[in-house]
Amino acid sequence: MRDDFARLAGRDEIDDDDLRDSIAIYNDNRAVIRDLYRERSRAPWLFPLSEVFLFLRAGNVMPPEEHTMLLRDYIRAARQDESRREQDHSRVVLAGMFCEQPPHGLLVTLERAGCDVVDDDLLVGLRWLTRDVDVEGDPLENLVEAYLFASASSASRYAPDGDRAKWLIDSYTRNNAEGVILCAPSFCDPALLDQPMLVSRLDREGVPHTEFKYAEDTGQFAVIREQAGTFSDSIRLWSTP
Amino acid sequence: MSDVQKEASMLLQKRLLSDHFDVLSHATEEGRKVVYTFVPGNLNELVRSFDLLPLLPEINALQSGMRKLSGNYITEAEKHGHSEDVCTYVKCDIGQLLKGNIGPTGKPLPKPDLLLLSYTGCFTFLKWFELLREQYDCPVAMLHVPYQSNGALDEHQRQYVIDQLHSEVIPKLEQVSGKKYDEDRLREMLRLSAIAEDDLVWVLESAKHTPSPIDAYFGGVYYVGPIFSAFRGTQSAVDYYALLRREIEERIAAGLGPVTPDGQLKEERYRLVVEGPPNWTSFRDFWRMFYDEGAVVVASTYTKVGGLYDTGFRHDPAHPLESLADYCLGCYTNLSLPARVDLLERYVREYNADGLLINSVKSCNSFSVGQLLMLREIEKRTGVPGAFIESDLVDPRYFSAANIKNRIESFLQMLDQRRAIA
Repeated sequence: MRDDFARLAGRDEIDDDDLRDSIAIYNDNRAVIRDLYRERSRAPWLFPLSEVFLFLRAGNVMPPEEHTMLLRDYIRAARQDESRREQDHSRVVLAGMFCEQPPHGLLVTLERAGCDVVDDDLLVGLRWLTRDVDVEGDPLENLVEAYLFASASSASRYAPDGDRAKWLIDSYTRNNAEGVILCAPSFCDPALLDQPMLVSRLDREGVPHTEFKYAEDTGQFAVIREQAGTFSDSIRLWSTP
Repeated sequence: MSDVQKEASMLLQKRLLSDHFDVLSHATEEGRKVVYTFVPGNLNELVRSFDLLPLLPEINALQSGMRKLSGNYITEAEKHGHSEDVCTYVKCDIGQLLKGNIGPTGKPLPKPDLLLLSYTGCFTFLKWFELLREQYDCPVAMLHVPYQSNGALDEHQRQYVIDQLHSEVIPKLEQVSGKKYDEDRLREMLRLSAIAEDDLVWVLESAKHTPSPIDAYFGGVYYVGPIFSAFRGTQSAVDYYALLRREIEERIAAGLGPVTPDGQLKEERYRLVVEGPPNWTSFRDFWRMFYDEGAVVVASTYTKVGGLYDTGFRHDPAHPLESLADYCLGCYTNLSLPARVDLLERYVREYNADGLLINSVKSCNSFSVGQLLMLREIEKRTGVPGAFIESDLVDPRYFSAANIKNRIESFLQMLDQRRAIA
């Protein structure tokens, strides 16, 4: 891979110091994304999912240094925007969108249906490593160590401990959520085969949840709006405080 | 519907399968331990060297499909929250479990003592056994087999698999069976595997004759049955393939074509290569669409999912774990798309095919992805035309007989027209 990347970059080689510099830059990027998720969980009305998604998605095409600055500016600006006010929405965790990304309109629909998304698995590649990668020592070993032992849980990864829903329950609890929306793309075997296991665990834990599918290029959201709206209403009206 | 014509090898295979399901049905009361595992990349010799019984859920699913049981099982799984989009083998298996785990022969299936997740060429296997682990609460041994993205086996990949056999698979088999790993016993089983594999390759390559004495897809799925399932590495498999080979030798000597469910094929009019799995719920109807028109499949890729032997690989008693690793790495769906195209091109040329037909299966991503590109590439490289049909493995709702028949007939008419103007 190192040689391949050097070839792609038109360079003779990528040495250890180059890798350390890159690791540091991506550590900064992951740190600001973690800040954004923390801030959103605290005050989701300041950081609507439909915006957060676009800002994160830009990170897939921008140089990471610029993306980090963009996110810092966004967090600052959103915090200072006094027109953003708390609404009577339900706090939900959104899961199942780790690979094929949903149409933007679907995310807008969820918000309009009264759902404040406080955590999600969208664009999980940007947050795959869950801690900083060490910049001292052998950079390749450090990357491997992080990938093996500090990476995100996902339907596309084997769970050797057998607890498929642990990350979801943890997220629900950590983010003080009120419900879970399982939203998977059509024909996504990992997400769709995961769902019955997640549902069964959510039921055992008494976590309100709803499930639906989407197609990548769909523009029809009426049914999803009905379902998400009913779900949000049911949480606000009938969930035990 | 007329009675199906059966040769001696078919009757032997039927008996082998029936006996195996019989043994499985008594496994619990007789204290025998059972290992669930998958066809591609199965470690049958290793499992049997510990006197453990292999059970292959895919085989149960396809058998249920052929016996018209799968539709109800799939509905049952969907009632329990499984999506209509996902692999129907998985849903058939889960539905069967939810309805009491009665096997396709009507006898109860035992619970697994170990789930051996070989995870070769298909990601869905991983999810399948995660689902079963929730149901059975039993240990899992995971063998991660790296995808051959470069189109060739690398030494580090082989070593990675061997290391897992040592560190993960063998210790768990020892734990479940209470027996120590016996390499000499494994070597003897691998010796038997190689004998059967030689005969299987001879049978599959007999289709290079004109007329072909076999149908290498519809007949082929029967021919690979014993070696892809619980019998590789056993004397039973050696006997079966020796008998099958004798039958084919006789057919070649007599200048005969394949035997179909309705008897001897009278005339071979088209020679086809087929990519993709068959439909099991309407298997006989599907086959009839071909043999009614004199279309014979001379090579297929589905008969390589449980092992790609016609490129030279054999299990090797002199290098037991190395050859098990090579076997797992080399299964058809573990190959890169360019490698799959190369293989199809080879089949089209070596078997002198008139056309390539792709049966794209709705619920099998590992097979279906890239198939249209493969079709175009084969047409470009060989000048042999391709056609594309769609069905499913074991979901009867996705077999549209009229549409499929229409497409096959149109394709064959097109082949006639090409001949007429050639």
